This record gives sequence, C-alpha cells and structure tokens, in this order.
Amino acid sequence: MPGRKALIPKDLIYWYDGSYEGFLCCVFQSYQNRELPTDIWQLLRPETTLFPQVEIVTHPGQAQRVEASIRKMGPWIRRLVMYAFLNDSPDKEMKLLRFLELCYREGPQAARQLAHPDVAAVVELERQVSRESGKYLEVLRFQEREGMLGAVIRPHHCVLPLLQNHFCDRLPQEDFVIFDNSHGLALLKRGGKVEYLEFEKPVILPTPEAREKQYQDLWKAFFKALTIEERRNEALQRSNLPKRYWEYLTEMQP
Amino acid sequence: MELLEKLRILADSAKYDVACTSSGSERQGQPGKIGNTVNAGLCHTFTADGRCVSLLKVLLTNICAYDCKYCVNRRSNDLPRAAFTPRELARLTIEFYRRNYIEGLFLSSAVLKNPDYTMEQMIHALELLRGEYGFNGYIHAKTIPGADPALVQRLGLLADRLSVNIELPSETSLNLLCPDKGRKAIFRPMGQIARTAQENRQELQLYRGAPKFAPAGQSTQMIVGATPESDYQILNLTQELYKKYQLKRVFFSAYIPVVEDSRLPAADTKPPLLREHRLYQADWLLRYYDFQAEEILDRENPNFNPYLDPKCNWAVNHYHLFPVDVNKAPFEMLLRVPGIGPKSARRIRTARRQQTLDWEGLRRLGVVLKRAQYFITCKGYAGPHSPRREMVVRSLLDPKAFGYGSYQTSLFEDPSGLLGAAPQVQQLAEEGMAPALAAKTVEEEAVKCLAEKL
Repeated sequence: MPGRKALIPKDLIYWYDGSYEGFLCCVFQSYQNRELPTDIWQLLRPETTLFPQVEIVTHPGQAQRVEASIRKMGPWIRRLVMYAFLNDSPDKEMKLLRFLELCYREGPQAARQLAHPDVAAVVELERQVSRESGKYLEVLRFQEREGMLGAVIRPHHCVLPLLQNHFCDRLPQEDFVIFDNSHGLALLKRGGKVEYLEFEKPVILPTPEAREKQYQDLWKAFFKALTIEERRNEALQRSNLPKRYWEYLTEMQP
Repeated sequence: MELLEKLRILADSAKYDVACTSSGSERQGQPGKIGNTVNAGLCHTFTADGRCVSLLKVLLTNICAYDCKYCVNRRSNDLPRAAFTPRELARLTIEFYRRNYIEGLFLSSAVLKNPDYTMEQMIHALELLRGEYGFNGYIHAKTIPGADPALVQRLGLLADRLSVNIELPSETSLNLLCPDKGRKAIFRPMGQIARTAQENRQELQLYRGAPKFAPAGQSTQMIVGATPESDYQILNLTQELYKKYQLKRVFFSAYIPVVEDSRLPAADTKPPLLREHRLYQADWLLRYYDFQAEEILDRENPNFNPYLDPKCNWAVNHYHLFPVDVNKAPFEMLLRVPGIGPKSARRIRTARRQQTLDWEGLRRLGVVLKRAQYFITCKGYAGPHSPRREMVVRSLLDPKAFGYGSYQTSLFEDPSGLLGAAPQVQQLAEEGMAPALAAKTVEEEAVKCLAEKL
C-alpha cells in the first residue's frame, strides 16, 4: 500500500449507514475514484448543501479488503482506527480518512509522527475513547435481579465493545446485561454467549429486591465510613470522578 | 452485632491505611472462578476527601493487644470493637466484587492476642475466599510485625501484594511511639518478602505453573509529621526501601491527631497535607523520572520548598542547564523540563524520529507550554527573549500551595482550599487576614525570593 498517490479533494459528500464496515467502504470508494470528499455523513441529513451527495452502499467484500490493508499496517494503526471510530465526534470519518491516506501514502511509519495534524487528530479521538472506556471499567455498577446482573451507563462514546472482554473474562459464571442509554445498545451475556441488542427507550433499572438492597446499603455504609473528615476535599473528589459519572453510581444515590 | 455495624466499625478503623491500589498483577479469569486482575489497577470510586477506593479495605478485627500511641485502635482507646468471621468477609468480598464495587480485598488486622494468632486468622479467611469461594481477584494483605516467617510465606501465596508498615521514619521515633513493635519486627519480614519474591521469580522461569508469591510485590507506609524527621531523611529512607527491598510503592500519610499525648504533636495540629503531597511528588521523581534523592534535597536544604513542586525546584536550581532543544536533548533531560512528563517525553521521542518538532507540534503532543516555554527550544523557536525572572518563577509556582484547587476555584469561592495550602498562608489566615489576601501576600513574597535565586 505505501507509495499510493494522494487523493484529490472533490466537492462531494459521502453518506453511509454508520457501521464500521460502511465506513471502510467509504475508504474503498474514495480510493477507487481517487477522490477526497469534503465530508462523510452517517445517513442522509435533511440540511441542504451545495455539494452533491453520494450514497456509499456497504459491501462486505470491499470492507474486508480495506480491513486487511489496515491490519497489514500493524496493531498500533489498527487500534487507533478501531477505537477512534467508536468516538461520537461528528467529523471522525474525515479525520480517519485523512489519517489513513497519510499512512497509505507514506507507509505505516507515518503514524508515528505524533505531532502531524492528521495523526494527532486521530490519536486524540482514540485517547478520548480509551479514557472513557477505562473509566467505565471502574464506575459501572451492577445490580442483581433474579440471579442476573444488570447495569446502565450513559457514555459519550460507544464504549460497549471495549467493556465486553473485561467483564466476560472477570465474571465467567455470571449472566449479565449492560445497557448503553446514550446509544440504545445493550450487551447481553447469557449462558456463555454474547450478543448486542438495540433498544429504543432509555432503560431505568427497577427498584432493587431486598437482598440487593441489603448489599447496596452495605456498600454505601462502607463508602461513607472511608472518608477522613480532617481531609475532606470535594473539589478533589469531583476532579477525580466528574459528576457526569455519578448518575448510576450506587454510592452516590441518597 | 449486625453486619452493617461491623463493616462500619472495621472500615472506619482501616481507613488510615493509605494504600488502596490494585496494581502490579495481571491475571486472566478462570472458568469456574470469579475475577481477574488488571496490571494498572482500577479505582472504582472516590470518597469525599478525594481518595481513591479500589479495594474493600477492612480490618479482620480492631481488637488490639498493642498500645501504639498514634493509632486509633490502640488498646487504651475507648472505641467500639468488632471482628468479622471468615465467612462473612468472604461473602461480602464476593458480593461487592460481582457488582463491580471493588477490585478485591485489602485485609489488615489489629493484633488479636499475638501476631501469630492474628496471621493465622487472616490466612484462614483468605484460604476460604480463594478456595471455597473461588475468588481470583486482587488481594492485598498486611503482615503483622513479629509473626512467624512460615506464616508470612503462606500469606504471600494467597495475596497479590503484601505490605509491612514501617509506621515512622526512624528507629528513635519508633521506640518512642510504638514500644511493642521493634525495628527488627518490621524489617525482617520485609527482607523475607523481598528474598522469597526473588526466588519465586526464578522458580517461575523454570516452571511456569509454580505457585506465585505476592506477584504484585510489597509496599509500605509511614506517618509524616508526628515526629521530627526532615523531608531529606524521609526521602532517603524511601529510596533505600526501593533499592534494598525492591518495594513497589512507599506511601506517606499526613499525621492526623487522634489522641492527646505529650510525645505527640498537639491535638489541634493540622495534617501536613502539602508536605505529604510534596513527598509523593518526590517519590514519583524517584520512580518515573530517574531522579536520585540527593538531587531533590540535601543536607543544606533538607526540606521541600512549599511553593514549588520538587521538579520545578530542581529546574530553578539548575537554570543554567536550560534551555534544551527538544529535537536533540537526551530523553533523561526531556524528563527534567518543567511541563514535560513521562507521557509527553515518550511522545516527543517517538515523534522526533519521524519529524522535526515545532511549537505547534509540541502543543499537539500535549506539552504544557506555559511552563516549558522558558526551558526549551525547537524548530522556529529559539527560546524566550530575555524573560523576566518573575515571569519564569510565576509560571512554575504550584497553585495548590496558595489554595487553588484542581478546579481552579480560588480561596474567594472555596476557603476549604486552605487545607492543602502552604503553612505560611494558613498562618496568616489564622491571624485574621482574609484567606485570599493571605495567599496573594505569600505568593508575591515567594515570587520575589525565587526570582532572586534564579
């Protein structure tokens, strides 16, 4: 792949189905036509623009070819692309396309130019996603109901796929479900199988059963007992654990 | 007694132990068991004092035979007492762990009857948790000073990390304040753990399935501010502990008066939080920045500058070595530039192999240019034009020392910021000056004084 020619900017807008495969097909299309679109949209937007809009249809075959080319450039680039794609930023596709163009043109070494604007942009997208998913490994809270564990999160980015391995490895005996209320996506692990389900309305966890309530109370009591009053510093607490994570934290509920 | 009440008592008694890390161990889940460990450790929540909660940190019991003067659990203190049964503790750990409240268990104990008996009880509890309950998560266990080496050995095979608290930074202080624990009783198990861990590493090389002894190493903690040791003495001791006993972490805990005693600081003494903070910063310099204790402090300057973090203080004292060219400077020197931490230093190293770095590039890498600008050159930037010394110093001052928290709230809005501020600021405020004015006064004084030094 290295040594590919630069893409030529064109006044076009791509739109695709929003899936990772779909995005890979956008990359395929732009290379096939040697063109760099001005923007890439997830689905067609109602707003009017002067530029013609091109629908990119997802072909698994094309996606696989692009995926193979990314894989060939090594684990670092592959990780950057996959993580950055989970970012909710509206211009991630263009940032990724520019980044991939740079890597295809100059070879995988180009991705080590961390101060290059096209690299730095994607590294930043990746960093935001891994920071948030790392945080949710910590602040996700399960509740037990009828023997099954359930949790609700409301992340900025689509971090659910990055939580899967950690919790499946950690709790091999348990059945659990994690609802992502911002993206309407749920991760369900039952009987050793994992599946993703979509849902419409935000999930509200039901009032806990008696036994569950007992453990929640124990946890809250423990949490409260740990504070050293002489050192009380709520500003430090908020900077270590921003308030937006408190919504579903058991210990922060009254 | 109800479990809730027990938990409250035994967590309250354990909270002065500062170590709450779950790092240093990487273990995958196992079918039929519960739990794994993550090398970097995870902090599940933060208490209202801003400290991280990673483990279920409790004492097995707070019924104590000893009478250490600085300790809440000392025999002579009138306090509600409780003890967990091993089964209660195991069930609690598992139920908290399943709900993702914690990474595991931090088990410590007061000395019940004698050290050996206490350790046996702890081992019994951990065996139940690891065995019958199939717990595969993180366990940090504290060894009891004076216990039989064979028991330390057994404990190490159950725990990820072991710790022996050295409590106070010198033997004199130890003899004065905890006559029941000798220096020997502390350093003997520490040496034993270090040796066993080393043997274990060799065993593991020969035979991958060998049982692991404390794979996350050992740590210790000491109380700062209860006794008269200087920062230099404490830092030297810390360095020695890292070198001699291969400790993973040394923790410091600002002394909080818990009892009136003629041998201790007065009961209205404020915890020296800023000093504790400086010690941690210096500790990071030892572990991640390739500094030696003697570079940070020395006999002539045995205590930290309250207004500068130790790295900036070093830079002020070695101003003649700067500016350095970020495109050429050796990695060790990059680490010493104020505003460049290990992460940005590594990014610079990676990036400069591929490209020549300029000002915008450094910004994209995440270098804190507000501080670094006076200490670096790069493509298109030849360093500051004859900077005013006051400006350099002002950029380096630690806002914490003047009551500015991480949230950039000033003392105008949040007077509780005084808690971690420099003693001089606290003193002026106590004498009746408005906190914000006190901070400003001390700040101007510090700028003037440091600028002269530059």
